[in-house]
Amino acid sequence: MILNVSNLYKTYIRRGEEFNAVDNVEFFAWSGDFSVIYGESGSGKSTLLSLLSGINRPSKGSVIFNGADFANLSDDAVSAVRNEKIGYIPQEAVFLPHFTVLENILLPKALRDGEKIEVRSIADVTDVDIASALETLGIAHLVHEMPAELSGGELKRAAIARALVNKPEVVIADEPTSNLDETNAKIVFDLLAELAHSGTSVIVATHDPRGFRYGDRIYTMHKGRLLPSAESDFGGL
Amino acid sequence: MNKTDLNLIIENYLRNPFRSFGLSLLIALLASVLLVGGLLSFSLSKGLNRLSSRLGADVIVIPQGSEINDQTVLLQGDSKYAYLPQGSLEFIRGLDGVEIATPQYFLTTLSSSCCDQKVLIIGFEPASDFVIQPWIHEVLTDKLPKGAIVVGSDISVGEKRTVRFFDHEYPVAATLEPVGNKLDQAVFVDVATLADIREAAKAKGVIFLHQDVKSEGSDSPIYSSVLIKLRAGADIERLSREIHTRFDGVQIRTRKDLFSGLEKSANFLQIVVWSIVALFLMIAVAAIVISFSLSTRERRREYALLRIVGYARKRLRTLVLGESLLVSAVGTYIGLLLSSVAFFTFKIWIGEHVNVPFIVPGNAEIAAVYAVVVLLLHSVGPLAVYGVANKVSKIDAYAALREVEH
Ligand SMILES: Nc1ncnc2c1ncn2[C@@H]1O[C@H](COP(=O)(O)OP(=O)(O)OP(=O)(O)O)[C@@H](O)[C@H]1O
Ligand SMILES: [Mg+2]
Repeated sequence: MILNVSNLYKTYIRRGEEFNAVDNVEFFAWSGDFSVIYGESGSGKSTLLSLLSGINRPSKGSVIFNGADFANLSDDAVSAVRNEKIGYIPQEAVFLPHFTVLENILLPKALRDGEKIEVRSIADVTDVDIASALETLGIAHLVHEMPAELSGGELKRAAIARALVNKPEVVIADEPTSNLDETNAKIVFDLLAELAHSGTSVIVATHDPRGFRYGDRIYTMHKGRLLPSAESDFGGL
Repeated sequence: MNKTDLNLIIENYLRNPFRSFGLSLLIALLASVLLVGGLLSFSLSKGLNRLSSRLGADVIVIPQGSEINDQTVLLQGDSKYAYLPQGSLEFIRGLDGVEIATPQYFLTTLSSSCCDQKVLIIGFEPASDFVIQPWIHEVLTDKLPKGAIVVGSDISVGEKRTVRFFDHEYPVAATLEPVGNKLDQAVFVDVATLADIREAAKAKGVIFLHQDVKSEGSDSPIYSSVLIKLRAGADIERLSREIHTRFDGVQIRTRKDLFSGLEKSANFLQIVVWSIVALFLMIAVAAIVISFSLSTRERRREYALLRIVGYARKRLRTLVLGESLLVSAVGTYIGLLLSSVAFFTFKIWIGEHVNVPFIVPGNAEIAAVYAVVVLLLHSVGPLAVYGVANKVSKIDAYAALREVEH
């Protein structure tokens, strides 16, 4: 898998003035990469990740996934790619309020397989990887609750589980450890590292200093610009 | 539509019972109005058509002071005990432009085994009658047997197929097709049988005023009405002038003025019915549009999530359209069920209380009305929310995601 972006811009208007929330960003990620993006609040991390996931469109430049430019693909095609190959964890908690946590988590799978969304029991989760991810994330006992009944940290972990359900080629995680305590933050980073180890490309935007330890590509974002960080180990590149 | 979308639509409906069912009830109301309106309208035009095809006479002469009932007068005059002056039939028959003139005699009785209501007995003269016998021919190929009677569609004759007047049983030769007015509750007999019934009444001690067709002390019979068929090009004005000059106390009604009045009131009813239907349609469409645009706005983050997990834009549109279709379908079936029960329970009452001919359509026609209602109402939801659905499909998912939760 390769995701690369070049010359990427996202321009917004603030008080009548144009400004670039994402400003001429060059970025690429391979299978197995663990990319970590730091940056102060408002620097454009979330905007960049939304562009990478394809739910947001750049003002200029291109996002190329496995050789195909999102801009040249139909909406159906980009949507299918997002469903099957991209696990996007948004910064904000977002769930179908009238469906259980488990139904929410399995949503991408139901969509991919053309199956019912309705799930009655956790016993229906036959995929061992999903079942073990729920255990690892410590939310297995919560899956029959409604989203409104979960805490912020619990929802965050449910969103992570949801992003992993279709075993995507790339996981794009926006602040995956916000709202989480030490222990759970470590669990999440360990899980993401394990995914990267097994070949998934992991892209994380975070304020969590743990990222330095886990990431093998570290970036800093500042006023929309993405810069390779001094601490980054770019290996042979 | 695939299983996932279908399931999402159904579950969204079931898990938001308040919103979905509220709208469905509104559609149910619309379905009821549409169904009843459609059936009423059909019944009205059918009644009018049947009546117009039954209007055999061009002119009818009836006694002054008759209570005129527009629906029945052309066929029968009325049931009040008023009679035409003696000699009027012979006079009319001699007039220029009259092709046929036939008399009718009326008798009203409460003493029938068949009905709670007053039964109107109409006697016709077989030799000259051109109005009633053609109807009888529709249902009876042979001649009316001696002493037998023919009944309107609302008169039930029981298994013996007889009707009882003044302790005498009269065999029923045939039941007429409904016309949608009082004639459906009438009994038709020839003059000979009418005389029979009167004899039976006399024997029971029932005294009629002018009870004899041929009044005492005169050779000239008296009649309740005279129905006239005109020759082509006959001058109705002159004809009625001549009758009025010769006799006092008669009135002359033509087919044209009576029928146009009838048509006017039937048309007015049609307009009322369809205005109500249109009003309800507008209310329902407005409610659906408002409700869906509010609820889809409220659910923007849900749609954003669906985009994130890989829903294509056009599938979001399908979801919204599907939800509106489900809302409409559920409402349609509830409405049809309730209003069918109501309509078929009250159709007789309705027929009696609208003062125009009213015939409930046949099964095929009823099925057609149902089909139209079902089709139309299934499309009301999706058509009404098409714009809303399009808007949802164009959602900026990332912007929606960032909207603060309330
Ligand atoms: N739709 C929008 N219209 C105008 N400005 C926007 C819009 N979306 C984002 N911005 C602005 O773009 C900038 C980058 O926002 P973004 O959410 O990407 O920052 P961030 O790095 O993720 O911040 P944080 O760490 O707080 O999550 C901010 O200044 C934000 O106000
Ligand atoms: Mg952010």
